Amino acid sequence: MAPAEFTSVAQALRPRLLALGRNFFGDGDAAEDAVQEAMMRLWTAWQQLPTEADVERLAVRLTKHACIDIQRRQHTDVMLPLEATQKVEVVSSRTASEALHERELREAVARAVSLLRPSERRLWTMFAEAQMDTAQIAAATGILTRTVSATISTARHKIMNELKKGGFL
Amino acid sequence: MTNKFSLEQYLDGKHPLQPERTALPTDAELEAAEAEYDRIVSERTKAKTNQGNRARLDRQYWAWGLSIAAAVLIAFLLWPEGDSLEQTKVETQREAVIVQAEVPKAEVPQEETARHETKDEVDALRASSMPAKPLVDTLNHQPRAPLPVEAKPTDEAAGEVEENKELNHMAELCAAEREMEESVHRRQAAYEEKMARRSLKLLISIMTQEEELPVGGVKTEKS
Repeated sequence: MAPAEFTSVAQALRPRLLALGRNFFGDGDAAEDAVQEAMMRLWTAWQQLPTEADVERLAVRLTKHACIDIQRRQHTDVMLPLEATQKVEVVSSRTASEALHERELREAVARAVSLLRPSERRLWTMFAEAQMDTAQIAAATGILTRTVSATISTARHKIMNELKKGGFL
Repeated sequence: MTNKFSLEQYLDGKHPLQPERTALPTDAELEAAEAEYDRIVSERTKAKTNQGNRARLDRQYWAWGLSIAAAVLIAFLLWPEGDSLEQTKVETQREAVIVQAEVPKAEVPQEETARHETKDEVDALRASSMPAKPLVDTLNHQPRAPLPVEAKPTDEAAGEVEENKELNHMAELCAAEREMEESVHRRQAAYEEKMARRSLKLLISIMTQEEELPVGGVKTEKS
Protein backbone atom coordinates (compact mmCIF):
# COMPACT_ATOMS: atom_id res chain seq x y z
CA MET A 1 0.00 0.00 0.00
CA ALA A 2 1.11 3.57 -0.62
CA PRO A 3 2.88 5.39 2.26
CA ALA A 4 0.47 8.32 1.91
CA GLU A 5 -2.44 6.08 2.94
CA PHE A 6 -0.86 5.20 6.27
CA THR A 7 -2.03 8.39 7.99
CA SER A 8 -5.73 7.89 7.29
CA VAL A 9 -5.65 4.13 7.95
CA ALA A 10 -3.73 4.58 11.20
CA GLN A 11 -6.17 7.26 12.33
CA ALA A 12 -9.11 4.93 11.67
CA LEU A 13 -7.47 1.91 13.29
CA ARG A 14 -6.21 3.60 16.44
CA PRO A 15 -9.44 3.46 18.53
CA ARG A 16 -9.84 -0.26 17.93
CA LEU A 17 -6.21 -1.04 18.71
CA LEU A 18 -6.33 1.12 21.83
CA ALA A 19 -9.48 -0.71 22.95
CA LEU A 20 -7.61 -4.01 22.59
CA GLY A 21 -4.76 -2.64 24.68
CA ARG A 22 -7.10 -1.28 27.35
CA ASN A 23 -9.03 -4.53 27.41
CA PHE A 24 -5.78 -6.24 28.31
CA PHE A 25 -4.04 -3.70 30.55
CA GLY A 26 -6.86 -1.41 31.63
CA ASP A 27 -6.33 2.34 31.35
CA GLY A 28 -2.73 3.47 31.41
CA ASP A 29 0.52 3.81 29.53
CA ALA A 30 0.90 0.11 28.79
CA ALA A 31 -2.08 0.16 26.39
CA GLU A 32 -0.61 3.19 24.58
CA ASP A 33 2.77 1.46 24.43
CA ALA A 34 1.16 -1.59 22.83
CA VAL A 35 -0.53 0.56 20.18
CA GLN A 36 2.76 2.36 19.51
CA GLU A 37 4.65 -0.93 19.04
CA ALA A 38 1.95 -2.24 16.73
CA MET A 39 1.90 0.97 14.67
CA MET A 40 5.68 0.95 14.30
CA ARG A 41 5.68 -2.61 13.02
CA LEU A 42 2.69 -1.92 10.82
CA TRP A 43 4.57 0.98 9.26
CA THR A 44 7.61 -1.22 8.70
CA ALA A 45 5.47 -3.78 6.85
CA TRP A 46 3.29 -1.18 5.18
CA GLN A 47 4.59 -1.35 1.62
CA GLN A 48 4.31 -5.14 1.50
CA LEU A 49 0.64 -5.16 2.49
CA PRO A 50 -1.76 -5.63 -0.43
CA THR A 51 -5.19 -4.50 0.87
CA GLU A 52 -6.71 -2.53 3.72
CA ALA A 53 -8.40 -5.65 5.10
CA ASP A 54 -4.97 -7.23 5.51
CA VAL A 55 -3.81 -4.08 7.27
CA GLU A 56 -6.59 -4.26 9.84
CA ARG A 57 -6.09 -7.96 10.51
CA LEU A 58 -2.33 -7.51 10.85
CA ALA A 59 -2.73 -4.45 13.09
CA VAL A 60 -4.99 -6.38 15.48
CA ARG A 61 -2.56 -9.30 15.64
CA LEU A 62 0.40 -6.98 16.11
CA THR A 63 -1.37 -5.21 18.97
CA LYS A 64 -2.15 -8.48 20.71
CA HIS A 65 1.45 -9.56 20.22
CA ALA A 66 2.66 -6.26 21.66
CA CYS A 67 0.34 -6.71 24.68
CA ILE A 68 1.78 -10.13 25.45
CA ASP A 69 5.32 -8.87 24.83
CA ILE A 70 4.91 -5.90 27.19
CA GLN A 71 3.31 -8.07 29.85
CA ARG A 72 6.21 -10.52 29.74
CA ARG A 73 8.67 -7.65 29.99
CA GLN A 74 6.78 -6.25 32.98
CA HIS A 75 6.81 -9.63 34.72
CA THR A 76 10.44 -10.44 34.05
CA ASP A 77 11.51 -6.78 34.40
CA VAL A 78 14.16 -7.23 31.71
CA MET A 79 15.05 -4.50 29.22
CA LEU A 80 15.00 -5.20 25.52
CA PRO A 81 18.36 -6.58 24.45
CA LEU A 82 20.48 -3.94 22.88
CA GLU A 83 21.51 -4.49 19.34
CA ALA A 84 24.90 -3.22 20.32
CA THR A 85 26.02 -6.45 21.98
CA GLN A 86 25.37 -8.42 18.83
CA LYS A 87 26.66 -5.80 16.48
CA VAL A 88 29.96 -5.44 18.29
CA GLU A 89 30.58 -9.16 17.81
CA VAL A 90 29.54 -9.08 14.14
CA VAL A 91 31.76 -6.18 13.14
CA SER A 92 35.13 -7.76 13.18
CA SER A 93 37.00 -5.16 11.18
CA ARG A 94 36.82 -2.53 13.91
CA THR A 95 39.28 -2.33 16.64
CA ALA A 96 38.31 -3.43 20.12
CA SER A 97 38.39 0.11 21.52
CA GLU A 98 36.06 1.43 18.79
CA ALA A 99 33.63 -1.41 19.34
CA LEU A 100 33.67 -0.84 23.07
CA HIS A 101 33.10 2.89 22.60
CA GLU A 102 30.18 2.28 20.25
CA ARG A 103 28.64 -0.15 22.69
CA GLU A 104 28.95 2.36 25.51
CA LEU A 105 27.40 5.04 23.34
CA ARG A 106 24.44 2.85 22.41
CA GLU A 107 23.89 1.95 26.05
CA ALA A 108 24.03 5.61 27.01
CA VAL A 109 21.49 6.52 24.31
CA ALA A 110 19.21 3.71 25.42
CA ARG A 111 19.48 4.89 29.03
CA ALA A 112 18.76 8.49 28.01
CA VAL A 113 15.66 7.35 26.08
CA SER A 114 14.46 5.32 29.07
CA LEU A 115 14.66 8.47 31.21
CA LEU A 116 12.13 10.28 28.99
CA ARG A 117 8.53 10.61 30.06
CA PRO A 118 6.29 7.81 28.64
CA SER A 119 4.56 10.08 26.12
CA GLU A 120 7.90 11.54 24.98
CA ARG A 121 9.46 8.10 24.77
CA ARG A 122 6.61 6.78 22.62
CA LEU A 123 6.85 9.63 20.11
CA TRP A 124 10.65 9.58 20.06
CA THR A 125 10.76 5.83 19.49
CA MET A 126 8.35 6.11 16.55
CA PHE A 127 10.47 8.90 15.15
CA ALA A 128 13.92 7.43 15.76
CA GLU A 129 13.34 3.68 15.47
CA ALA A 130 10.56 3.44 12.86
CA GLN A 131 11.54 6.63 10.97
CA MET A 132 7.93 7.79 10.89
CA ASP A 133 7.25 11.45 10.07
CA THR A 134 5.29 13.74 12.37
CA ALA A 135 2.01 13.37 10.43
CA GLN A 136 2.19 9.60 10.67
CA ILE A 137 3.06 9.76 14.36
CA ALA A 138 0.18 12.17 14.94
CA ALA A 139 -2.23 9.78 13.20
CA ALA A 140 -0.91 6.77 15.12
CA THR A 141 -1.04 8.46 18.51
CA GLY A 142 -4.02 10.76 18.14
CA ILE A 143 -1.89 13.81 19.03
CA LEU A 144 -1.76 17.08 17.06
CA THR A 145 1.08 17.34 14.57
CA ARG A 146 2.60 20.46 16.11
CA THR A 147 2.50 18.84 19.54
CA VAL A 148 4.29 15.82 18.09
CA SER A 149 6.99 18.09 16.64
CA ALA A 150 7.44 19.94 19.91
CA THR A 151 7.56 16.74 21.94
CA ILE A 152 10.14 15.16 19.63
CA SER A 153 12.26 18.28 19.84
CA THR A 154 12.08 18.25 23.63
CA ALA A 155 12.98 14.56 23.71
CA ARG A 156 15.99 15.17 21.47
CA HIS A 157 17.23 17.93 23.79
CA LYS A 158 16.85 15.72 26.82
CA ILE A 159 18.75 12.88 25.17
CA MET A 160 21.56 15.21 24.12
CA ASN A 161 21.78 16.63 27.63
CA GLU A 162 22.05 13.13 29.09
CA LEU A 163 24.76 12.24 26.58
CA LYS A 164 26.62 15.46 27.45
CA LYS A 165 26.47 14.52 31.10
CA GLY A 166 27.96 11.13 30.20
CA GLY A 167 30.73 12.79 28.16
CA PHE A 168 29.58 11.43 24.80
CA LEU A 169 28.99 14.85 23.25
CA MET B 1 34.37 10.08 13.73
CA THR B 2 32.14 7.05 13.06
CA ASN B 3 30.35 7.08 16.49
CA LYS B 4 29.49 10.77 16.38
CA PHE B 5 28.18 10.43 12.87
CA SER B 6 25.94 7.54 13.88
CA LEU B 7 24.65 9.49 16.82
CA GLU B 8 23.81 12.45 14.61
CA GLN B 9 21.93 10.14 12.26
CA TYR B 10 20.08 8.63 15.21
CA LEU B 11 19.10 12.05 16.54
CA ASP B 12 17.84 12.99 13.06
CA GLY B 13 15.72 9.86 12.95
CA LYS B 14 17.70 8.18 10.21
CA HIS B 15 19.47 5.40 12.07
CA PRO B 16 17.55 3.16 14.48
CA LEU B 17 19.19 2.15 17.71
CA GLN B 18 17.19 -1.09 18.00
CA PRO B 19 16.04 -2.24 14.54
CA GLU B 20 14.56 -5.44 16.01
CA ARG B 21 11.84 -3.35 17.64
CA THR B 22 10.30 -2.67 14.27
CA ALA B 23 10.89 -6.15 12.86
CA LEU B 24 7.73 -7.98 11.95
CA PRO B 25 7.11 -11.15 14.06
CA THR B 26 6.66 -14.45 12.26
CA ASP B 27 3.18 -15.90 11.68
CA ALA B 28 3.76 -18.53 14.34
CA GLU B 29 4.69 -15.89 16.89
CA LEU B 30 1.63 -13.83 16.00
CA GLU B 31 -0.63 -16.90 16.25
CA ALA B 32 0.78 -17.86 19.64
CA ALA B 33 0.52 -14.31 20.97
CA GLU B 34 -3.05 -13.96 19.71
CA ALA B 35 -4.08 -17.26 21.33
CA GLU B 36 -2.50 -16.25 24.62
CA TYR B 37 -4.11 -12.81 24.49
CA ASP B 38 -7.55 -14.34 23.88
CA ARG B 39 -7.03 -16.88 26.67
CA ILE B 40 -5.97 -14.28 29.21
CA VAL B 41 -8.82 -11.92 28.30
CA SER B 42 -11.44 -14.69 28.45
CA GLU B 43 -10.10 -15.86 31.84
CA ARG B 44 -10.32 -12.33 33.19
CA THR B 45 -13.82 -11.94 31.80
CA LYS B 46 -14.87 -15.23 33.38
CA ALA B 47 -13.35 -14.23 36.70
CA LYS B 48 -15.15 -10.89 36.57
CA THR B 49 -18.45 -12.60 35.75
CA ASN B 50 -17.97 -15.08 38.58
CA GLN B 51 -17.17 -12.24 40.93
CA GLY B 52 -20.30 -10.41 39.81
CA ASN B 53 -22.44 -13.52 40.27
CA ARG B 54 -20.98 -14.13 43.69
CA ALA B 55 -21.69 -10.55 44.70
CA ARG B 56 -25.26 -10.93 43.42
CA LEU B 57 -25.72 -14.18 45.38
CA ASP B 58 -24.29 -12.54 48.49
CA ARG B 59 -26.74 -9.69 48.08
CA GLN B 60 -29.56 -12.20 47.64
CA TYR B 61 -28.58 -14.13 50.78
CA TRP B 62 -28.32 -10.92 52.72
CA ALA B 63 -31.77 -9.87 51.52
CA TRP B 64 -33.17 -13.26 52.55
CA GLY B 65 -31.59 -13.04 55.95
CA LEU B 66 -32.73 -9.49 56.45
CA SER B 67 -36.29 -10.25 55.39
CA ILE B 68 -36.48 -13.24 57.72
CA ALA B 69 -35.01 -11.17 60.53
CA ALA B 70 -37.50 -8.40 59.79
CA ALA B 71 -40.39 -10.87 59.85
CA VAL B 72 -39.19 -12.33 63.15
CA LEU B 73 -38.75 -8.85 64.58
CA ILE B 74 -42.25 -7.83 63.50
CA ALA B 75 -43.68 -10.98 65.06
CA PHE B 76 -41.69 -10.39 68.24
CA LEU B 77 -42.75 -6.76 68.50
CA LEU B 78 -46.42 -7.13 67.69
CA TRP B 79 -47.61 -10.53 68.88
CA PRO B 80 -46.36 -10.70 72.44
CA GLU B 81 -47.56 -7.17 73.06
CA GLY B 82 -51.11 -7.93 71.96
CA ASP B 83 -51.06 -11.23 73.79
CA SER B 84 -49.94 -9.74 77.08
CA LEU B 85 -52.50 -6.97 76.75
CA GLU B 86 -55.31 -9.43 76.27
CA GLN B 87 -53.97 -11.65 79.03
CA THR B 88 -53.89 -8.70 81.38
CA LYS B 89 -57.47 -7.84 80.52
CA VAL B 90 -58.62 -11.42 81.09
CA GLU B 91 -56.74 -11.67 84.37
CA THR B 92 -58.20 -8.39 85.58
CA GLN B 93 -61.69 -9.54 84.73
CA ARG B 94 -61.11 -12.90 86.40
CA GLU B 95 -59.85 -11.26 89.55
CA ALA B 96 -62.89 -9.03 89.57
CA VAL B 97 -65.14 -12.05 89.28
CA ILE B 98 -63.33 -13.87 92.07
CA VAL B 99 -63.57 -10.84 94.31
CA GLN B 100 -67.29 -10.66 93.62
CA ALA B 101 -67.69 -14.40 94.13
CA GLU B 102 -66.19 -14.41 97.63
CA VAL B 103 -68.91 -14.57 100.23
CA PRO B 104 -68.02 -12.43 103.21
CA LYS B 105 -68.67 -13.99 106.54
CA ALA B 106 -70.39 -10.86 107.73
CA GLU B 107 -73.16 -11.39 105.22
CA VAL B 108 -74.35 -14.62 106.86
CA PRO B 109 -77.90 -13.94 108.04
CA GLN B 110 -78.58 -13.24 111.71
CA GLU B 111 -81.20 -15.96 111.95
CA GLU B 112 -78.74 -18.56 110.76
CA THR B 113 -76.14 -17.43 113.31
CA ALA B 114 -78.75 -17.51 115.99
CA ARG B 115 -79.88 -21.00 115.16
CA HIS B 116 -76.35 -22.44 114.99
CA GLU B 117 -74.94 -21.01 118.16
CA THR B 118 -71.21 -21.45 117.61
CA LYS B 119 -69.06 -19.95 114.87
CA ASP B 120 -67.69 -23.36 114.04
CA GLU B 121 -71.12 -24.61 113.31
CA VAL B 122 -71.73 -21.67 110.98
CA ASP B 123 -68.49 -22.37 109.16
CA ALA B 124 -69.28 -26.05 108.88
CA LEU B 125 -72.70 -25.20 107.47
CA ARG B 126 -71.13 -22.88 104.90
CA ALA B 127 -68.55 -25.48 104.00
CA SER B 128 -71.24 -28.11 103.49
CA SER B 129 -73.17 -25.80 101.19
CA MET B 130 -70.02 -24.88 99.17
CA PRO B 131 -68.70 -27.28 96.52
CA ALA B 132 -65.49 -29.21 97.17
CA LYS B 133 -63.62 -27.64 94.26
CA PRO B 134 -62.86 -23.95 94.09
CA LEU B 135 -66.04 -22.17 93.19
CA VAL B 136 -64.77 -20.29 90.17
CA ASP B 137 -63.19 -23.39 88.64
CA THR B 138 -66.29 -25.41 89.11
CA LEU B 139 -68.42 -22.71 87.60
CA ASN B 140 -66.01 -22.29 84.74
CA HIS B 141 -66.07 -25.92 83.75
CA GLN B 142 -69.54 -27.08 84.75
CA PRO B 143 -72.30 -24.76 83.77
CA ARG B 144 -75.09 -25.41 86.16
CA ALA B 145 -78.76 -24.75 86.01
CA PRO B 146 -80.03 -21.77 87.97
CA LEU B 147 -80.92 -22.72 91.52
CA PRO B 148 -84.53 -22.28 92.67
CA VAL B 149 -84.86 -18.87 94.27
CA GLU B 150 -88.40 -18.90 95.50
CA ALA B 151 -88.96 -22.61 95.90
CA LYS B 152 -89.12 -22.46 99.71
CA PRO B 153 -91.01 -19.45 101.01
CA THR B 154 -90.40 -20.30 104.68
CA ASP B 155 -88.06 -18.29 106.94
CA GLU B 156 -85.80 -21.30 107.27
CA ALA B 157 -85.11 -21.31 103.57
CA ALA B 158 -84.61 -17.56 103.30
CA GLY B 159 -80.88 -17.80 103.83
CA GLU B 160 -80.58 -20.59 101.33
CA VAL B 161 -82.53 -18.55 98.79
CA GLU B 162 -80.22 -15.61 99.28
CA GLU B 163 -77.23 -17.85 98.83
CA ASN B 164 -78.71 -19.35 95.71
CA LYS B 165 -79.21 -15.88 94.34
CA GLU B 166 -75.56 -15.14 94.87
CA LEU B 167 -74.50 -18.40 93.30
CA ASN B 168 -76.66 -17.73 90.26
CA HIS B 169 -75.15 -14.31 89.96
CA MET B 170 -71.68 -15.80 90.13
CA ALA B 171 -72.54 -18.39 87.51
CA GLU B 172 -73.72 -15.68 85.19
CA LEU B 173 -70.55 -13.73 85.76
CA CYS B 174 -68.43 -16.81 85.07
CA ALA B 175 -70.35 -17.54 81.89
CA ALA B 176 -69.82 -13.97 80.76
CA GLU B 177 -66.15 -14.25 81.56
CA ARG B 178 -65.88 -17.50 79.63
CA GLU B 179 -67.59 -15.95 76.67
CA MET B 180 -65.30 -12.95 76.81
CA GLU B 181 -62.25 -15.19 76.98
CA GLU B 182 -63.41 -17.14 73.98
CA SER B 183 -64.00 -13.97 71.99
CA VAL B 184 -60.55 -12.70 72.97
CA HIS B 185 -59.00 -15.98 71.84
CA ARG B 186 -60.90 -15.83 68.56
CA ARG B 187 -59.75 -12.27 67.92
CA GLN B 188 -56.20 -13.14 68.88
CA ALA B 189 -56.14 -16.11 66.52
CA ALA B 190 -57.53 -13.97 63.70
CA TYR B 191 -54.91 -11.32 64.39
CA GLU B 192 -52.10 -13.87 64.41
CA GLU B 193 -53.27 -15.32 61.12
CA LYS B 194 -53.46 -11.85 59.58
CA MET B 195 -49.92 -10.98 60.72
CA ALA B 196 -48.57 -14.29 59.45
CA ARG B 197 -50.13 -13.62 56.04
CA ARG B 198 -48.70 -10.12 55.97
CA SER B 199 -45.20 -11.38 56.85
CA LEU B 200 -45.45 -14.07 54.17
CA LYS B 201 -46.51 -11.46 51.60
CA LEU B 202 -43.61 -9.25 52.62
CA LEU B 203 -41.16 -12.14 52.27
CA ILE B 204 -42.52 -13.09 48.86
CA SER B 205 -42.33 -9.50 47.61
CA ILE B 206 -38.70 -9.15 48.77
CA MET B 207 -37.75 -12.46 47.16
CA THR B 208 -39.45 -11.48 43.91
CA GLN B 209 -37.61 -8.16 43.83
CA GLU B 210 -34.29 -9.94 44.38
CA GLU B 211 -34.93 -12.39 41.55
CA GLU B 212 -35.68 -9.53 39.18
CA LEU B 213 -32.24 -7.94 39.72
CA PRO B 214 -30.25 -7.73 36.43
CA VAL B 215 -27.24 -10.00 36.01
CA GLY B 216 -24.01 -8.05 35.37
CA GLY B 217 -21.84 -8.97 32.43
CA VAL B 218 -18.66 -7.83 30.84
CA LYS B 219 -18.45 -7.10 27.18
CA THR B 220 -15.61 -8.75 25.37
CA GLU B 221 -13.94 -7.42 22.31
CA LYS B 222 -13.85 -9.84 19.42
CA SER B 223 -11.06 -9.59 16.99
